[in-house]
Amino acid sequence: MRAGSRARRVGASAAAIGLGSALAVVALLHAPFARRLLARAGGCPIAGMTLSPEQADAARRAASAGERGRLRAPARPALRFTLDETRVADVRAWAAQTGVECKDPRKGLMICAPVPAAALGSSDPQAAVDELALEFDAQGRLVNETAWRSHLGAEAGASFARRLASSLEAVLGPPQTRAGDFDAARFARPGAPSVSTLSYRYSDYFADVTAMNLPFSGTLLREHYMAAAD
Amino acid sequence: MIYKALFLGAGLAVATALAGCSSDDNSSPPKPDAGGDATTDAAADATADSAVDAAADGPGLDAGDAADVAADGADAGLTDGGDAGDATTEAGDAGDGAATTLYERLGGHAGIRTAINAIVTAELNEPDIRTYFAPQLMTPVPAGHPNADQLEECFTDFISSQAGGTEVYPTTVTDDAGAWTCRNIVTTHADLYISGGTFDRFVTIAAGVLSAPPFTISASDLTTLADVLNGTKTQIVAPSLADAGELPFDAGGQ
Repeated sequence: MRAGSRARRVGASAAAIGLGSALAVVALLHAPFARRLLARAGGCPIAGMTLSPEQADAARRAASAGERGRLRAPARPALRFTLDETRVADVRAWAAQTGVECKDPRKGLMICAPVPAAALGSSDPQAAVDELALEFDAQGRLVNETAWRSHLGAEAGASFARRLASSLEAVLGPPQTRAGDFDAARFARPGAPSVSTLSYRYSDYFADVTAMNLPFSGTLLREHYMAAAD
Repeated sequence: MIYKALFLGAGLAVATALAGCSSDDNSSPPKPDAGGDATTDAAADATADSAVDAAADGPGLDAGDAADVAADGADAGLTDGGDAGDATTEAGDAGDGAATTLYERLGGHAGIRTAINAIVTAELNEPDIRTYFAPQLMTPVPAGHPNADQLEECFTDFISSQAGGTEVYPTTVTDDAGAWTCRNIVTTHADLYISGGTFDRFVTIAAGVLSAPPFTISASDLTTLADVLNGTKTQIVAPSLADAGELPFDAGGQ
């Protein structure tokens, strides 16, 4: 009888310690210094703020709906990937093969950084990417992709941006929207006057190239491709 | 003693979880809806909580929103809907009469709202930045967060107040879902851990939107707007991450 009572007390104490420890861990994860760790763990389950692939899909569709063009794209360049076809496993295989490190900040989003030019099938050293963001729909297909390059010199950045613009124009024709001409003199100026941008808007495909000279990032170049068929 | 520890742990966990999750709930970035329904109502005294409790129809990222915005923009005078060929940022220089304020040149509240909507839509197309809008992309919008319409209206009021409009910021905005009291810039972004790199990417996307058709903002006005945005950098970027490159945010709104 006494042994049974003691066993129950020990069991209750162990449970209390375990539960108390678990709660303390939860508390610590919410402390400011650990918030990013909590985010990496999937976010606070109480707040339920983690963006799901379905929610990301809905946002992408809604954001693209009003901008979609009437014509289908003659081609859908997207670096070395294929929108609506490349899958998560394909990207993982590419990363393993090329030695590129990729992380999954949330389900449906893969961030690869840095990405050497060769991994993108280019021999142009300027084609190297600081960070490549790849987003997949709820079915695991690549639907959104951005390559960011920063700290480009004015001359080298302008030269690369113009080659990029030319390569898109060669397969897509003139952009639907354009401002600035991606020239070195423009990139040499800081802030708003440095901005150059071009955009394509088809019924099934968006592409954007934007460059701006900022104090922290230097000349920052954004190369963005997105599926818009759905 | 064990039970005291348990209760202490539980209390700490609940308190910090509430403080953490819900105070973070007070820190969400902008997002679209473009409905343009939210209006500033300085007299409204509804609390943020009651506003969110009243929110029922989600962010309302309707397919037709952008079309509505385009139409709104044409009326507002910020856009020209003209040729997609050569509308560089210099296009509007000649029109910058000394008699007009930046607010007027941007088309007043409606014009600025149109621009905000276009910016947020573009930011939503960016895979990582989209994550910061997670609360507004949920239906219903989680308690403690403004809906998309309210958030855009807050952003519109902020820019308007900086551009010479009569709007004040922070203020209270109202829409069909209720009222939301906009928070100051620091509070809004305090727990988002935005890095200097992420901030620059946001600015680059926004500047690209405003530089190109259908917008016809002059180079000098664009510079002023960029200065306004850059002026908020120290308030938005986490000090510890000011020199960090882009950092993916994986649990938007946390």
